[in-house]
Amino acid sequence: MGQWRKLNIGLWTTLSLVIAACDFDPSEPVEGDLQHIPYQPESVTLTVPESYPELEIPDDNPFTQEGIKLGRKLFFDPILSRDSSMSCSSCHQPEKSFTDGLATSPGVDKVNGRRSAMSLLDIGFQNRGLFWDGRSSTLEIQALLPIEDPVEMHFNWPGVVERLKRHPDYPMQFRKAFGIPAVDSITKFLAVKAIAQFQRTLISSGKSKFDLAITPGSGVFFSESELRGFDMYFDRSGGRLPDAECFHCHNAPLMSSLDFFNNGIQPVRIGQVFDDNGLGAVTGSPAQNGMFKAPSLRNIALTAPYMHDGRFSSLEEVIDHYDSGGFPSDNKNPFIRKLSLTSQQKSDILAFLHTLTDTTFTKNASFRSPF
Amino acid sequence: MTARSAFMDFTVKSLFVLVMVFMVSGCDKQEKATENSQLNLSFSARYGAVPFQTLQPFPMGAIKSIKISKLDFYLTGFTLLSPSGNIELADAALVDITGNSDQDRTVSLKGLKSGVYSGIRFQVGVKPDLNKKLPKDFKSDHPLSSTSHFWEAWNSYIFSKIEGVLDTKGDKVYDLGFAVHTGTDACLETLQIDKSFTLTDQQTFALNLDLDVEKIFLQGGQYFDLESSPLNHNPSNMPTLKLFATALAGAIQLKN
Repeated sequence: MGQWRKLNIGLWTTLSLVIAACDFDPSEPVEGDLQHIPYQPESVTLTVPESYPELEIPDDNPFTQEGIKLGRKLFFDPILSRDSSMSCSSCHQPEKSFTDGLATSPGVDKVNGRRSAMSLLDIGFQNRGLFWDGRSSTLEIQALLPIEDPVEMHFNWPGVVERLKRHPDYPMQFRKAFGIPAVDSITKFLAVKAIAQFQRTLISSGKSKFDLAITPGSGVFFSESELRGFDMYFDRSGGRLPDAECFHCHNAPLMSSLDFFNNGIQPVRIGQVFDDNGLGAVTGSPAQNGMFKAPSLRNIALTAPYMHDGRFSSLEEVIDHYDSGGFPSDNKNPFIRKLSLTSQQKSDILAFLHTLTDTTFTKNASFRSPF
Repeated sequence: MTARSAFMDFTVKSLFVLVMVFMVSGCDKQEKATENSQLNLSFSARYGAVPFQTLQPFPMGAIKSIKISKLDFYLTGFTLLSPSGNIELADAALVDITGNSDQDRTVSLKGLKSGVYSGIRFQVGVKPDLNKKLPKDFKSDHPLSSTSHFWEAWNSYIFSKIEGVLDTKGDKVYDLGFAVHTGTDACLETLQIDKSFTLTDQQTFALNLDLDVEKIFLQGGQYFDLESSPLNHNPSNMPTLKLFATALAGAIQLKN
């Protein structure tokens, strides 16, 4: 009888323990589950200067407050680099219109890349190929590359994603931005979507002196020198001043045609081969060797040094180059020719280029580091 | 009414409704199918008798030779010609003869009504109602969104770009860059291709067009003197630009 009683007690105890173990409360978060965090993304409409084209947003990556916030944090966070020493902002600094002031930039291994960091101003409008050689078609694709580039962050995406998953804040921010159900749902594709959302917000204020001077009723006027530069830049003088041929590649309103050109800065080596073949190396077309993207000239005074390899340290050197006509080659843009500008005319063009400075953009607190 | 006759009545009514639904959906399909054809205008280029290639040298008379690095042009105002009524299309296209792929040299006109047509008419350049617009008025995948093909000083699209280098002395040194950019309504040219073709539902018909690049420079039996006038893109050069616009349209013909 005593044995039966002991067995009975034992059975009841075991049963109670089993029931207690099965007593799962669905309201309590399971490790890695994020569904208890509300997913209520707020859509965003950005202000674009009136003269600009529409900012096109990919259907699969709509703007949200939460996405932009996450992208901004990722952009300024060195967590993306192998030794956590570099972020996107190391080479793209807001106060320098998202360049770094260097001819070429060192990566985490202190090895320099071969091309200069491009300005990110108005990058969301660059829909004809990103990078100097146009090798990426979208900001989302572009943002995948620097992480694993040996001369940039020299890390790998699985490593980045692991760090993001373990981070105390990022999982929650990914949930708020993209509605992911669990930490394991964080992917590199979501990370670059967020970064791209932030980058698309980097829009000119439309308040540079140039913008205001060409707006009737603004009360802002070019100086005489700036006006002469403006006329030469756009060939508006009716023959009174020389055509400096600038607008062919750097057309308004973005001050970039978004196109690719050989601007005569490299001599031909053999045949149609250059030290850096640029676009031609991407497309495989020798006729496009030596061609590079015409960058926006907005904030150009803040983005020295110049050209794809940072060879010119000042705008004066750049103007001298275009005045000289550059090195001959079969696909050099024909408007890059000997101009024979006077020193006054060069100064006038320089003065005009300075009117493209947009400090409202560089001082925008929304574009600064959140850390 | 008995239960049986009520059932019969219901069945007949149901059948009638079903037949009507099928008929209507059948008609709908037929109507959609008539606007599902495609016409491709496929350009191939040559320089005289020689197939054209970007940056290949071609003779310009006895001494000089030329290499073309850029040759593109807009086509707008497409009209399908038919005895039962012409059909105007809203399409615009940028044909890039120096582009990397066949797609750059092909105009695809989609969603066309199937039927028999006697030809097609189009304008080489940007027709006035579109030329009043700005690149920012178009989505980035539209040919007219290209700021590279718009000149503010003209307030016009650049209808065609012809760029390259010239060997002026016959020493194989291509020392003179040249450019011809046409634009403004005055440079618009109309071209009509008289060729009977049938567009069939969900099928693509290709009209093969031939561009003789040499003819662009060979005007009135003589090569245009690029040496004297290498850069032609200013309204002050309008007579020259009109010459080139006319020559470009004249260099396009149906390929045999």
